[in-house]
Amino acid sequence: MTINKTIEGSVVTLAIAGWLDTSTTPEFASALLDLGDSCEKLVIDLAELEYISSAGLRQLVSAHKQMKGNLTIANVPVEVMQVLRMAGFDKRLNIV
Amino acid sequence: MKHSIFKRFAIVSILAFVVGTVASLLLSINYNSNEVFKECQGKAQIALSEAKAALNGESYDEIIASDSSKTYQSIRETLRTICELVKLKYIYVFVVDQQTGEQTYLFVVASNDEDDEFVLHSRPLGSKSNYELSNQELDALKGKEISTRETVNNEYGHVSSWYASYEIEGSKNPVLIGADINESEIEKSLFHNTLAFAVPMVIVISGIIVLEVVYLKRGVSNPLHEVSEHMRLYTENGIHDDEPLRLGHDDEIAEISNSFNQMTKNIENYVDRISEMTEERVQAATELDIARRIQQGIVPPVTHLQRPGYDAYAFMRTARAVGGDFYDIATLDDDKLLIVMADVSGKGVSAALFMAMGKTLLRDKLQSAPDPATALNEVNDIIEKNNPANMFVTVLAGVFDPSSRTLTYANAGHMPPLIIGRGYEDPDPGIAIGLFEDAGIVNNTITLAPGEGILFYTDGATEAIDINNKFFGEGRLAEAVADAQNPQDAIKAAVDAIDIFGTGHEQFDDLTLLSLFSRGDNDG
Repeated sequence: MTINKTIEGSVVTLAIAGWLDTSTTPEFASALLDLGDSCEKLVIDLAELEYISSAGLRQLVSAHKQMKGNLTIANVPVEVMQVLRMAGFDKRLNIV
Repeated sequence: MKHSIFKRFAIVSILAFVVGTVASLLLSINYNSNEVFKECQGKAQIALSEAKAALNGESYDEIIASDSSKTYQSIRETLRTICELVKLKYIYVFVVDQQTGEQTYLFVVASNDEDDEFVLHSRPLGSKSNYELSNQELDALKGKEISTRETVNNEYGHVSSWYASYEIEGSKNPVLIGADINESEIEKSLFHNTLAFAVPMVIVISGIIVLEVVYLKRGVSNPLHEVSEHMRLYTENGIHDDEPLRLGHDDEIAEISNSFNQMTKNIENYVDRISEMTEERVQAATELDIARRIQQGIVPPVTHLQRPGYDAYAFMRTARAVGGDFYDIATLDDDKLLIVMADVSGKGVSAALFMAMGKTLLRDKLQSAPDPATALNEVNDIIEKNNPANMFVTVLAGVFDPSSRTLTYANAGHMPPLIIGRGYEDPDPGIAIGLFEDAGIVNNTITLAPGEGILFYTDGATEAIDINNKFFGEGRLAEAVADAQNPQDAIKAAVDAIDIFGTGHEQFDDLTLLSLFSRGDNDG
């Protein structure tokens, strides 16, 4: 898994590629911790994400709560979208 | 056997001592024999010149006249006194005939009374002998003041002899005076002198060797022993010696002791690191073990429940890494059947504890609430209020009424159920339990025809991985169980298909399956 971070003013984009599972989620978690107060809006780009496990789902929810809703999940691939929908997260997370 | 350096050094030292002693003895003998011979020659010279003095003024005729004359007796007595004083064995005076070489004895005296008696009879005045004169005797006759030493061994004993010539009044033939020193006397003084030289020498040599041995013992052997003792203690007991080893002063021993200290320090660091790592591993292994036990304690591996109107079977196989699957099968008071399939996010002890709490809450609420959706929403509200780690559990919970063959079920973010031989349901997916307020979980209803079955499962089934990293998937699962006639067969078919599919690739997730078949045999 790789995380690509880009900052435009107060908007931070994290582009996650590969597998987001139990072994790689801690890296995603520490990237979220590193965001700091200057980040007012977070975009998580999942265009290159191949797989998400329950640990990855949990971290997405954590990010959503950390940003107090100012999180957008973008470019979700079909397979990942199925998982998000199955868990019911599409009802609460801001997916575009 | 141990070959101690110290012992070897001691052996070499003893050899050196022996060689040194022998060498000093040989040197001493060589040096002293010259000295002793010089000394003896000096004695002989004194005796010879004293003898000459005693003979001085006496004529040959007077002497030869009679051995009982006063003159003869007096000279003989003087010669004996000289002999005794200078510690000679014999003094003898004889005339050598210049023509024939024949010897005519004038005086023969011995210091010892017994010997004197003997020579008085065997070599009386005027007695003759005719042996060939030795080189030393000839040298003396030629006028040499004193001859070199001649050793003679005959009936008169083993002696060293020195000669001097003398001219006596009234004789045309020369006179030879001989002075004999007992060989044993010479040997005795040689022995004494040698000892006097060699003993201090040996003492000095042995002293040096003893000093060396002591130094070696203190400076090398003892420190080495101490180092090896430290090593032994260190390896045997793993004693951390707080006091570092301090031996030697700026020498090889100090180097060894410094290296030893460095080594123990490194070993301690390694050991600390290894035990830290081991501890972590043991802790991780223990945690997994605890988690597995919790999970297995909550959920039995197989449950079979058969009542009029239905037949239910559940199966769970935990993975090595321990997932968070659980199921529940229970009869409710009104002959209805409760079935639950759930998957807790995360792994390890926290997931297992979350699972324990979830299962208890679910059973409690599902028994008391009017329908599954209400129960799940209530459980969600309880968990969501205190869940800082954002753990969640996806749940599929249903209540089967055998009298109407209807299953009322609610889905909280879980995989949809499979109606065996028909296809997957598409229930409204509520949100997984534990994360958000108001999960919005709703009830769904299916009616099963008699003999029709339904399958609940977790992602351990659909996400089983083959050697090409492909998922097993919903399609294969539906196909595998399509022909099953009872829940046991359905689950066996699914597990076999998954295991064959996943051969050669370790499966990291739990595998949990629950199947319910409607029997329609409760009506009468």
